[in-house]
Amino acid sequence: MTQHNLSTSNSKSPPIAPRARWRDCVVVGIGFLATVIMFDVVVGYCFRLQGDESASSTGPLNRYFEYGRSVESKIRRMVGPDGRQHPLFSAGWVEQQGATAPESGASMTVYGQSFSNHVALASKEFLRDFETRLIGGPAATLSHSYFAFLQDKHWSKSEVVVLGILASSLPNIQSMTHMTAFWQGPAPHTYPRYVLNADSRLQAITPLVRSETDLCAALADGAKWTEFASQLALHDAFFDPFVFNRFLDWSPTFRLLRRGWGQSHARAVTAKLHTRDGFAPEAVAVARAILRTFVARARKGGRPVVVMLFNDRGYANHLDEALVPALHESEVQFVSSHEVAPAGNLANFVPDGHFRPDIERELGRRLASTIREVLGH
Amino acid sequence: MFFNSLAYLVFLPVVYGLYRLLGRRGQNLLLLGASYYFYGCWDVRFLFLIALSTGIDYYCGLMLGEGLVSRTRRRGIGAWFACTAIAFAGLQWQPAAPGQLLPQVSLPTEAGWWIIVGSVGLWSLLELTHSWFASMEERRRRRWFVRISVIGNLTILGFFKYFNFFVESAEGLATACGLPAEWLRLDLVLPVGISFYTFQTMSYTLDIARNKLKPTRSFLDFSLFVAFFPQLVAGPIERASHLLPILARPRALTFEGTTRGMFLILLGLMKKVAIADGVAESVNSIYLTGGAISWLDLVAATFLFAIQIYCDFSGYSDIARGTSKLLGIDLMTNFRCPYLSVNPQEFWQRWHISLSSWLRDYLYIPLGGNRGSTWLTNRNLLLTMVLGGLWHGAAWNFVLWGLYQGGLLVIHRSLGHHGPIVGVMRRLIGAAMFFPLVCYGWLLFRAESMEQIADFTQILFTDFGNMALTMSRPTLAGILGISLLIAVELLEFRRRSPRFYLAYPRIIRGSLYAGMFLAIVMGTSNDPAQFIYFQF
Repeated sequence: MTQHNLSTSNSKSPPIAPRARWRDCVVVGIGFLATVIMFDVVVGYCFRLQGDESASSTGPLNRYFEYGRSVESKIRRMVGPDGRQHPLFSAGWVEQQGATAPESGASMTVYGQSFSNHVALASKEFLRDFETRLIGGPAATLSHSYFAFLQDKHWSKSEVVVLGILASSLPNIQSMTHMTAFWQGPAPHTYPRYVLNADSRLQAITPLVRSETDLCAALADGAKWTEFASQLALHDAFFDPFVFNRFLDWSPTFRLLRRGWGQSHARAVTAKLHTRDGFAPEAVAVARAILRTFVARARKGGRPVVVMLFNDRGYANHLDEALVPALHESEVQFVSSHEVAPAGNLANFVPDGHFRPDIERELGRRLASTIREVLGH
Repeated sequence: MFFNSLAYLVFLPVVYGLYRLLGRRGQNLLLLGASYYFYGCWDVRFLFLIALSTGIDYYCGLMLGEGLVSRTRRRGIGAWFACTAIAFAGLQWQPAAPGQLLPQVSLPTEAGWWIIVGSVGLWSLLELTHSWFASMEERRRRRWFVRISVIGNLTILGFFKYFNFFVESAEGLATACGLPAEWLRLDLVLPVGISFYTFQTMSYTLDIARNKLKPTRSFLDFSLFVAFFPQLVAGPIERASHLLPILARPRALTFEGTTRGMFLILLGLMKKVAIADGVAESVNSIYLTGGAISWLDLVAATFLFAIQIYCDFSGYSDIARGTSKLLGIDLMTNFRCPYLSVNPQEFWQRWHISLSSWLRDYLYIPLGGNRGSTWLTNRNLLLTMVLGGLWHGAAWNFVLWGLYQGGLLVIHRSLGHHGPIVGVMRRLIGAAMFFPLVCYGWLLFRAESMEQIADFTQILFTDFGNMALTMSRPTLAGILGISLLIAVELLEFRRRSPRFYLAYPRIIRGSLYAGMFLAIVMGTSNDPAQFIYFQF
């Protein structure tokens, strides 16, 4: 039987005694382990971050070896020993935005993310008489924008409400914080997860941490932090305990493994919500419901809505396919990037994933023209 | 299931653990089951094609060699057709629902019923014609069964792989001639690995027909030969004369085989995960973009594609060979440092050896090889390489690539025979001079369309000196992996042994393995791409 032949060799080299084989294995194993440990020590020392230093302020190699740090560890690093916080720590919190009312005169309030901000700013060239209020968060998804709109006390003082929706962020509609879906460079802001109840009405699952103050309190109190993590584990599709919880962060090798794992987890979750044929029906249903509610509320407040659809790299025209029928149904004017710069053409994008400036300008021109049209100017 | 997936990381140890507990027959049964499961993870339906190919070639093999098949065997083959048709093509398999262990199975569709009826019809045909064939004169019978095997295999391959290609090409031709052209096109999915296992099974009957091989009576061994999971979907294309005898006798699981197998798996994973996936994004940023690119972009992307395709394909072969080695089965070497070749002839002795030797033995030599005039030899070379190109995929750029490779061989041949190059430096200089020609071939191979080939060729020859670089940078894992791979290949070449590392002190070997392991760990964050050769 084959298992009894293990001690025999079928190679042409002279047979090696079993004891010598074990010695061989042990010495090779020591060489292997010594190299991995040396790598850990050398990389850990040469590419370490200072205590209050965040990953974004250091060299590319430092960043490379930091991507795999746990989310909790990254968030804790954002608060320096002197209590100073990294700018990303404050980014995207809804309650801090929209506190200031627009000045008298024509204005628009834009809810979205960097894509919508770039286009809104580009549109100023064509809407010189308009003040622009930008409310958003890094790669904000539709639920973040809707929540920001609900929390904004001054939106009705704007002439028009603009909503920017990004294709690559649409799957994050099933998340509750930027920390889980964008764990490699997390911003800690949170937003509710919206689901449809039996009557197809939107129902919000509000995060336990809703503000910077809440977050600081949770970071200081282990029980609160655990409770928050438990809520994410229940309601955030992108949450993964291996990526979120703080352990073995001192080992660069382990951080590299966590990075690979985290990416494959995020890809797997996204793949359930977006395939080559388009977005999953459950994500589309929630997005359409948010869109309809958003538009209805704005109209009730007497303000028209203009929607910007950003089909970014890897998403073809899937955002248009998912939302344009709902926009037509609600008779909402919109500007789609697909008509100007199809996502299939990689030349339309700059390396960081945004559209080329000339495309943003064209989208800005179209936005301005649409705004003038809905306002009857 | 992919070699670089977590599922395989679980699958292989389970199979290996069970394998060690069983005797030869049990091992073969286990491997057959594991192979069908491995393939079925991709698409259960296409397992029927493998089963069909297995049944046809097993029957043809016996009829070619022995001239008759016993009633029991005929019934067995018939039952095999019927059962596999019901199980794979008839029943509809859905992945297990969340929280459930077993997949969901539902009743056949109309097409499924037709396949089941067809397989029963095939069984009946086999029964009805057997006595007629058995009583036939031997030479005539052998001719019949070679044709049945070749036509049967090529029909399956041609239908799934080339049907739409030929229809589209004919439509294009008809349109160019001003004729109405709206012909039937089918929404066909190309079964993974069909080109590989079709060629493998064909070699079995062809070898029997040439009296180079005796047919096997063991249906189990033959089924495993066709479906052996390590090399089922992307080779190496094994010969029956090599693999069947190994499957027919007890295998020795040796310490050396195990360590060598693990080394090959580690090396293969490094090539795929760290290097091929690490440069894929850079290559795609040029070949998939519709925007303007510079000369440097094109050269850099093509150079990286040469590395990508080598690491992707040879990485797969290494993992396949390493897995087999763990199971005590030696598969043939598929690559031997091909980029250190100094001419096209040497390149094809080092690149995808299992295919190039298959084409040589079953196409080039039967066409006449180099036995005729220079013109005939050149024709045979060109024809073989064009068909080799077409084997890769149903597209004109593969035909062009084959023609280009054939042209290089013809030119090399016309320049006369040169002796072997001695000396490392001379070898390296020779390889560096030949490598750009290889790279241009990869440009033809990778191009998305004939228009892109024309555009890129124009850029290559008219935009020389445009050094603007817009290509995405390769990942750090890719860069480190390439450095490590170059060192490994040069040492292997210098020492003239793929086991060169065994000559080093054990501590150094441990460090080498650790370096490869760390490259893989770094590569886990690369965007994983499917193995390129899966599409062939």
